[in-house]
Amino acid sequence: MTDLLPFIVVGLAAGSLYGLAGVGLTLTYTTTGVFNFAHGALAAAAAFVFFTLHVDWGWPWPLAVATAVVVVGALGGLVVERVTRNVSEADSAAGVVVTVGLMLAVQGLVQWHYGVTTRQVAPFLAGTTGHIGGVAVTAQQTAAIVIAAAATVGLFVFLRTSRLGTEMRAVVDNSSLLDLNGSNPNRVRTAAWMIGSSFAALTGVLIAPFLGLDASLLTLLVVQAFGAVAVGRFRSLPLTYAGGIAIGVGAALLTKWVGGHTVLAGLPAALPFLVLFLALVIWPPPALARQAAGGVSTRRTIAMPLKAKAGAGIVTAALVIAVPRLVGAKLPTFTSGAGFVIVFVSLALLVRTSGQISLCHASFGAVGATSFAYFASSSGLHLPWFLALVLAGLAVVPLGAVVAIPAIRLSGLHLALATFGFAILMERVAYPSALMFGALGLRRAPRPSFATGDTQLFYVTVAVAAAVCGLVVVITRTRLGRLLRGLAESPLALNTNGLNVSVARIVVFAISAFLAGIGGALFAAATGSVNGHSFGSFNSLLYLVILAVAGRALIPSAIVAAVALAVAPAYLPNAFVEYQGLIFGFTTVVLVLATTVRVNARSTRVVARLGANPVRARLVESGAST
Amino acid sequence: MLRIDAVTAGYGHTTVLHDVTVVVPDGSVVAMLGPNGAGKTTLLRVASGLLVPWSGRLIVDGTDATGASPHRLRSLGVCLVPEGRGIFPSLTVRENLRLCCRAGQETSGLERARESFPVLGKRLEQIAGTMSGGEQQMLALARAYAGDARVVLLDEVSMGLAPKVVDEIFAFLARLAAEGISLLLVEQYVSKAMAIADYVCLLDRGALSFVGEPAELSESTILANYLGAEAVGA
Amino acid sequence: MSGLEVSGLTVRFGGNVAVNNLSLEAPLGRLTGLIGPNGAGKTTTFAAISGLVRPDEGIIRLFDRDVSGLAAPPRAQLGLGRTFQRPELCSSLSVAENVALGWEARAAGGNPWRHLVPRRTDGRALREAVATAVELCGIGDIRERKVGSLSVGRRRLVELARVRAGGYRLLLLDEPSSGLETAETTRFGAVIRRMVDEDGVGILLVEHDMALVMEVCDYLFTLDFGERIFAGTPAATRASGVVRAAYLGDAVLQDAAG
Repeated sequence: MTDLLPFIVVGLAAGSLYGLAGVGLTLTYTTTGVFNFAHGALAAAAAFVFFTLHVDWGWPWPLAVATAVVVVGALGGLVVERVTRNVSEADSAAGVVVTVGLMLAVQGLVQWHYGVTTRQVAPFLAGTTGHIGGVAVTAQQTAAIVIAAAATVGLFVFLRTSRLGTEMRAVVDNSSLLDLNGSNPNRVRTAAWMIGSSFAALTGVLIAPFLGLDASLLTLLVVQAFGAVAVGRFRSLPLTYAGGIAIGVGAALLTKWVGGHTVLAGLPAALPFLVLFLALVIWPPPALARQAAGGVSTRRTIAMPLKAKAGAGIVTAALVIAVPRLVGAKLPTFTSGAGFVIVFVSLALLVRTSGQISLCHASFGAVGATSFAYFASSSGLHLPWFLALVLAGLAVVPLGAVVAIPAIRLSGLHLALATFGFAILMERVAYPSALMFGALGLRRAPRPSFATGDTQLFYVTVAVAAAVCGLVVVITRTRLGRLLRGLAESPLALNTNGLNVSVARIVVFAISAFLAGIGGALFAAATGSVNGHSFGSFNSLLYLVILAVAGRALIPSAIVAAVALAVAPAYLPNAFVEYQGLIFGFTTVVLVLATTVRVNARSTRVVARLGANPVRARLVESGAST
Repeated sequence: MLRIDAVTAGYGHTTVLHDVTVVVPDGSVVAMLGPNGAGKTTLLRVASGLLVPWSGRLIVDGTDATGASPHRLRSLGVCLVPEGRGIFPSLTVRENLRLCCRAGQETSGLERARESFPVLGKRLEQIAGTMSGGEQQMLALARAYAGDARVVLLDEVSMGLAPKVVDEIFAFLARLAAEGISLLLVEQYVSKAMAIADYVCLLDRGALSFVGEPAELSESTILANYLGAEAVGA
Repeated sequence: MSGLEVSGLTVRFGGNVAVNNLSLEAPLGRLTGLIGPNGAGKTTTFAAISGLVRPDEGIIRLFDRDVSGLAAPPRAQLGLGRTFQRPELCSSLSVAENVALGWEARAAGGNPWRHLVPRRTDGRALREAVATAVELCGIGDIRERKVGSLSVGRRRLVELARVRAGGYRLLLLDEPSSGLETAETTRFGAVIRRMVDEDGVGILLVEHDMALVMEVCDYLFTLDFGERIFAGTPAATRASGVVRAAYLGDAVLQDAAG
């Protein structure tokens, strides 16, 4: 027991902070219906603000903590409320895109201002507070444990006794009734966002001394609170807090046990996501009462006349054929761009056509790339190049099914979270294994024997990309495509017309995973060798946000997105690459603000009409009676 | 005085109310009758601020409140008891009552609620969603009384309740009226509604087909409105 | 008897009994009405019959087969179609596409691949089904319009055309006339009457427009408080005091008597 004690102490401190972050996240999710992916980015921002005040400006730490928490909490709360106000009840896909965009924007802003290198910081509380069974407990650890517990208990008491707290619980039940009672639900939600953001900020300030100041690391650590939130079944604050502690202690103990096995080295850090994934799958949370079925918003695409389409197609084709002559040494960038077109088309098929969300498309790409390397390279099976390409796509399909089958019954948000948990699991546990990138973290992928030159390879990649685009267009134009659009807009109608809705969703997910795998494989062939970094879990978030910004038309948006992600950086200053997240995240936020202002007047009233409980209303009483 | 003035309203591409004008004078009870789908609930949504009309105005005591939010209308004294159970099911009875009073007036509001429905006083700490349907509806109605409303809009408050509970609820409505609170009553129990109403409006496919005093309205007109013209002859 | 048979159906939500020990039949070739005041449990009955709500007790038989344990899609596969009080349509698709979805969803079932590699016979069957349904429901003039731009009245006709195209033998229609103009309602009544008389389908109709119900239905079940309080022909129902009482409150009878 005594040899476990040090790990337990470390785990308790970390777990308290996961719990603290999780409690804030659960509060805002239940009161607003929006799951805030930007929660961790707010924590990172607060940590940087705190250390600027405390270390650089020499403020005493209590004042610096209070200032950082209040300023980031209040400001963050206001921003998140404003950005999510009109997406809150519309659809979960929009909520995911917006808060992921916000997360990338805030994180990028912090990196832009403070740089990307990790700053080591001394604990702001020096010394130890005592020994438990011979294990020294640092003052910093004690502070984390005590403050997290106090804040959680404080919030619990606040929700039970104060009027505002009661209103926050009431808004979960029925927000329009609260409005009818004379309390402004938006005011209540804003208050909830501020409290939730303060909890994130407090977590950031308390966790930074253990980790150093690194915006992406801090963001990700708070993302670990997702696991705690899943344990709390997305609604219970005490269970969330307990879940955080359990995850923290569990991860610390796991660190000890897997100490000798390099294969499992990633497991402790991945534990929260394993918990998130399993909790969603094994113990599905009840949907929030107000949660509408996930789906795409009403399309407003303007159809191009056929002649114009043909014209645009010919111009594009001519441009593509001319690319090798025009771009010179930058051709490989365009080749990998063509690979990314496939990845984006596969994501667009999923998001735009069937209204589902995947936050693990980079992982699909990675599996495609490494499988392709294995199938095609001379050190692997050395299969014919095209056969290896197709097999690489097929290798991803079972993975897509593993993620999608359990989560597909759940709402769009839960599917998004399950895929995100899966992406991080893959990155932490599978990427380093010999099956994927291995100890070197690198896989070499061959070019086809008939296209060893840069120009030939470019044409081969473009041809495959064009074929995939063609296939996707065929899918969306056939009756299957119509079925999928129907699925996104009215699953209830298709369900009662005899379609097995879950099977249809899984079919799309599998097609999308297959194509993403092919895209990843082509990217690998284009670059010659790939590492896990090209397919990091945050890349999936970036893909989704870029695609959202790139427009609404299926194929053009995928091409624009691929150009923006893979080709444009070659022509822009290095800073662009570093701040891609900031740029695209910021653009998403601005776009959301700009479009919701227009739709605002109608859409909010449509929500009001559905009343408090649209799902139940739709199923049981079939909506608005007049 | 609540005045719904020449209101046209609906959802999406569908017009539900066509140029409807309804006046609820101070201290009077107006019964709004008509079959399902006539637009009664939509009318109450407009009056309570849940739905902004496409045209026409909503006037409360001479001030134009068109487009005002529900909480703003509540502060002007307009209170809607919505269809279904207008309570927060996961909160206790005490918390439910607390939220319908202005800050600072919770204690007096609680007293008024207990006075109107003594059974609620015994269940203050119970989670509202675990009470019986009748008790939940009493709680929803107590809101209107506890929070000193001046115009109460009632949407099918007797729906799905046992006859005995319905009687108790109508007795409560009569008491509200006796205290000078105006009521706009959407109700399926026609005769019970007519018994306490000063004025009756008949709504048919989104337009008013009759406005007047209960005595002016014959039984056959109502039946025709509800059961279809042929039913009257039978 | 072939068609729909419900016996002893009970559905509870929490402590509330929405439907209590309800039995009814809707055979093929008959237009059966289900009426009752607001909150009587009509829509819940529909949800239980179509497989969207799991009943607490009771047996639902469809074409002499017990379907109580089946989910919604297999019930539809057996020939049960329905419409919704708030039309469930895809607003970004055209009228014709929405109608086609009824046929396609039923044809797909658990195998959506079927529509990726189309069979030639499918295409012809689909076109015929859509053309017939669109013609029957009189929405030919708006075939290519996006559903999002239509009034509720037109949407109801599109939904009806969709179940018609799906080839269902037994239809549950939930308040199909609400939002329709008077002329549209009359036309609607004629359409569903034709479907019963000429195609021999069975219809169970929840409807509040009593003029329509009395005009087109062959037989009526009346619900109140989730229980069946009367069953009979429209004439018998109209004459029955119990039905008036349910609609207007029991005091009406006394008033009428006095």
